[in-house]
Amino acid sequence: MRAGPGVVADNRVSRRWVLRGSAAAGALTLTCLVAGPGARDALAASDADGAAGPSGGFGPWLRLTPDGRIAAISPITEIGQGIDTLVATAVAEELSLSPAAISVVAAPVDPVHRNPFFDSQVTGGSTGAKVVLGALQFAAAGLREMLLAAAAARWDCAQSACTIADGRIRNAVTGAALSYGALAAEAARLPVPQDVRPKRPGDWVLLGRPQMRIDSAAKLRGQLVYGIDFALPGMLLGAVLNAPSPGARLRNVDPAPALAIAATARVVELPAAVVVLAESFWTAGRAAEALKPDWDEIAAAAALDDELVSARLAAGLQAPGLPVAARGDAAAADAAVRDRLSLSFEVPLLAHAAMEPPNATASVTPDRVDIWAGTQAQEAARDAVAAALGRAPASVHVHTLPAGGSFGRSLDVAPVIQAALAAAAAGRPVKLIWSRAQDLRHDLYRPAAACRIEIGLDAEGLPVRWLQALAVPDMRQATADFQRNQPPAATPDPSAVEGAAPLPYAVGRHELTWNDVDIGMPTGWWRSVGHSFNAWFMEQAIDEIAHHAGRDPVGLRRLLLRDSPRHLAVLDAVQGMWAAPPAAGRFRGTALHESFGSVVAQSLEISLADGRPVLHHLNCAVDCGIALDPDSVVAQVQGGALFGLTAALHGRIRVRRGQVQDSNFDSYRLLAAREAPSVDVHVLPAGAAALAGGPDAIGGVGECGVPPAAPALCNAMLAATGKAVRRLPLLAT
Amino acid sequence: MELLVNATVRTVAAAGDKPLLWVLREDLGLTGTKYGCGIGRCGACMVHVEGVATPSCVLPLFAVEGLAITTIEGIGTADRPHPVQQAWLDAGVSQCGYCQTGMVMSAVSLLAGDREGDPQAIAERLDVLCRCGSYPRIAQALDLLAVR
Repeated sequence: MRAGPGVVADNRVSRRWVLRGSAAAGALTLTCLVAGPGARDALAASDADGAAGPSGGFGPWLRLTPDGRIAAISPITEIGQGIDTLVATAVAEELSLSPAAISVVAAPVDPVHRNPFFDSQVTGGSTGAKVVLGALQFAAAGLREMLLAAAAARWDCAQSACTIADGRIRNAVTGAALSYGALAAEAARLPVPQDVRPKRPGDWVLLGRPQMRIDSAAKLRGQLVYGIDFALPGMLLGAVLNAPSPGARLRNVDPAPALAIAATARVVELPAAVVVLAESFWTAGRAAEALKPDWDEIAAAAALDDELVSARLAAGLQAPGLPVAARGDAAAADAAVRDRLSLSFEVPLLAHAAMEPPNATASVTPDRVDIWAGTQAQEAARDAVAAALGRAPASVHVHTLPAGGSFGRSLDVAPVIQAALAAAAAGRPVKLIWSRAQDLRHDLYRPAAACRIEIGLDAEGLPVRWLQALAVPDMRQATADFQRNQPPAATPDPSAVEGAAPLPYAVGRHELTWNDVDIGMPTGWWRSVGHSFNAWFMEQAIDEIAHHAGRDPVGLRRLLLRDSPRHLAVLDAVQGMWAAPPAAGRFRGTALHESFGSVVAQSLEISLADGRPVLHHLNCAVDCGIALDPDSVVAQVQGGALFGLTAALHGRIRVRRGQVQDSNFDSYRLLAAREAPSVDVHVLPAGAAALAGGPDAIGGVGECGVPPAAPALCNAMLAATGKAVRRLPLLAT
Repeated sequence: MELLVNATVRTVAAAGDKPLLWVLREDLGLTGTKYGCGIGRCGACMVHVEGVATPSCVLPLFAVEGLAITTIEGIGTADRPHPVQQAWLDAGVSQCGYCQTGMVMSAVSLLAGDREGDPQAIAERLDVLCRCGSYPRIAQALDLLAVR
């Protein structure tokens, strides 16, 4: 489901499009497909077989109704990253409107709404802007052309005499003006233009400038309907008990204790869970907690604990790994080595802990299934529900709601499947909610991982050889089956090694190997995925080299970045944000990492209180190519940094006898406001290559703020204490 | 049981030990108050009881009989947001927004009790967890409020 970093880095922003329109009930609907072999054929075939519906059976991207409303249909789930506002801004830009005038509607599962980076409808990999921008700009520019042409026809004038501004088409000669809605029906009868030219970045008046989020007011008044707020008439509320350890199955459960609490409760047995249905979630939850299901746990679970995970990771570092990258002259490096450093690191399992717990609502009737959820994986959810119920995928309709966080959590389709099965069993719609304990104990976790880096230093103390071994669970095998039956991987897992190569630093000889490690726990995609640990390993290694050689860590980076001008510029930018050196008792740590097409440097100032870090201020610099909404970039980098600091200070999921021990925020700590540093973010202006539409034109920003935070903190700790951090979290008790 | 919610008397037929959070969400349809942890730790469920911010997920219904309860639905209107909501809007605080109703309830209560309050001191007492990392923007919003 998740493509490798190389794929994400592809430039697909400049795709060419085929535009198709249709009229229904006076509304004009536009859709577009990526131009290329098959696009026109697919549309023609779809028209020919009468799949009918708007746009030849393909779902719409844009709709103008006679009342003047414009709806942008977006396949990317709003999870807090602000994608709905960006969608509205991009459409408003082409149509000379305010972003607030555009309604953003969640797309159904539909071929035109596949995320090309994953070949499935998915929100992930910081690809959202790249997915929506090209298609919507093209469709909106097409709509603009059609409105101008319709106005020219109405006024019987040249199209060049018509202008578009402030939501109206004006006749430059007569001064007459028409609203878009008034022209919708006439525009819908016109041929759909193909030579459509969205505005160039230099002509933008909205994109590239900070926008007020279109959904903030509703959120702040409690009016936004998240998945957990959705309701259907007659629905039951469901609480879940998931199987306690990985791979366990339900043998049976006596419903009596639940019925003693709620006589009308219904206990639904699923293969690896029990669902209790009641008129209230609170009642269902209490009834579920009273149950004593008989679980069939796999034998391996009894031995599965933190120590075993660590031991397997350590063994994974000892075994020879699959080669991932090798660069530079090994013999020359060997000859130059005068000193050695051997560094080992380990990170724990982490939970996503989005503030909105997992939930889904399902309605199952004989001829259709409807799902409402803040899912990031609409297509996988649809297919999984269809498979679980034995229905055709086309009969399953996924309605995406905004999610309260996520960070990769709602790529897990388990709650959606459970809701559908429970609704089918009950014969009534079901809203199913995982308690916080169920969420934290049954996540698809950021894998535990380990790394060893053998550094060879020359006579100057500079690294001339960098041999790195990674031991990271293969995330391609993550979710399906914890008792792995697959043969060992023949190729490296792109998610496990992402960010570890190529090195931006000139280190002579560089080798990277990777070993899969079966840690027996379900793993998944956690904000910034492999970058979250690989940046920590590597950026700490740089500071340890500097510390060992008595060099300034930032100065060492500058020296080693001689072949990486983009990284160097970001590093210099973050250094430039400090007005003065740290005061006595204050210490700074800096880290730098490229992920999802963006480069971020962070520099954190701390002091120590009883040996523990107090975080004072964090400076961040980011080069994300074109910042489509600079304020949103700042917010994402701020939030990403605090997400990374949370993990570095507190993040740890503990396992004992196959069962996760952390079940709420009392033990799985989140960063509190009083612990957070102030954060400044400097967004670098887009370079010439980005403005020309080069490969770095639009870097992802939802995740890139996470990776440098943990190493920046640990490098500050190294500066403060002289001691390197080799395991996280820092404040493990 | 009769409850005084947002200055309106509401009749509720729910068990006395049902937490106020679920009474609000399930019995009264007031879904702006959010479930986050169920142990009174995250603050997503903050409401005002007699003006004081209180986590509603650990507050049984019987404990609030006769007390004035205010939820986010009782704070500001679409046309006239509460000054805290306006400052939050102006500072661009919300990301996913899920915790922000609790954040607003907490801030409104703290500011009502401490009008001259130092923004940083208020921020440290908010006691609501935000997973998106909106804390720097909250500090900005509190600074805005302090000068308004």
